[in-house]
Amino acid sequence: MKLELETLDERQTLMTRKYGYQSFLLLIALVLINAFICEVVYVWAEPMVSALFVVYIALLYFAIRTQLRVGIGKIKSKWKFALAMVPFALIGGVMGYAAATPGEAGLIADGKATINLWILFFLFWAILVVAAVIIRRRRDKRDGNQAERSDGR
Amino acid sequence: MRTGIEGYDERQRVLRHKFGYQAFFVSMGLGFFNAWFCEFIYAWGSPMVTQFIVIMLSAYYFGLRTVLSGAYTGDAASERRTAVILPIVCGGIVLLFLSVLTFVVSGHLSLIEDGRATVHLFSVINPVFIVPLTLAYYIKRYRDKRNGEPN
Repeated sequence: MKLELETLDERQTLMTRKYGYQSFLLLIALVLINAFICEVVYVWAEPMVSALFVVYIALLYFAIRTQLRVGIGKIKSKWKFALAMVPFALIGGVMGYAAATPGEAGLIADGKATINLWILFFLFWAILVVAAVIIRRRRDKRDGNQAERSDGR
Repeated sequence: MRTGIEGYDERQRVLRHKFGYQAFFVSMGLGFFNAWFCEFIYAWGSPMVTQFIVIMLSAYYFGLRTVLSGAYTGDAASERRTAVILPIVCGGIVLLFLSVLTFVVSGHLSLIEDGRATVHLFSVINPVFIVPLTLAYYIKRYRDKRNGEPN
């Protein structure tokens, strides 16, 4: 089954690259800040966990900006879009369950953020991105309806 | 708020965004790989050093692509050129100076300590990336001048 993603026009491509460039600068700043904090102030997480946080914050900025302004990865059919969200929902649910159930470590262990905290952050990240997608789709639909009314249809 | 740094033409801005977008995904990939490697294989340096080197490699890719594409040449780009490149070069010089000072004061300089890269290794290899980048920039300017293009 093909999802039939809409291809990006030139404006969308330029905007996507612009937000990617901004995300790159944000990533550099976050890495420098994180390195400074870990080295000078306090080791707030293990290297892998802190790297995941830093990368996903930059990725969150990129995803939100592109979804709201560009709408990359548009799926033409509504039910196919819902179907495409199912794997993400499943992954998020499994990871959320893993984070919520007591295991070897909670959200904070020995004063450091654990991978469970990152999993919760990832869930928050996924919710925000899906919300941005929904907002953009509703806005596109509303703009499409307004255009039809102005045409007199 | 306008920063007052202007002077790019549209083509240069598009190139900068394009390579910045690519560098973003390069840095993410390197960051993930580095985090996995440090966590499961071998912690080859402190978090600060490893992340600095990952960012430096990504910035080097971005810098090389943009410099060779002409995104930083031309009269239009002169102000941004100074505003962006100067702090990077100065920062590298300061780091190198601190490492040299450490060597002069203590008599030795550990690039590798307990099997892990130190910040001095980063400050020493930083010029290795900046020097070719600077050379590429001046080669580009020379070629543009030879071809009669603004540089």
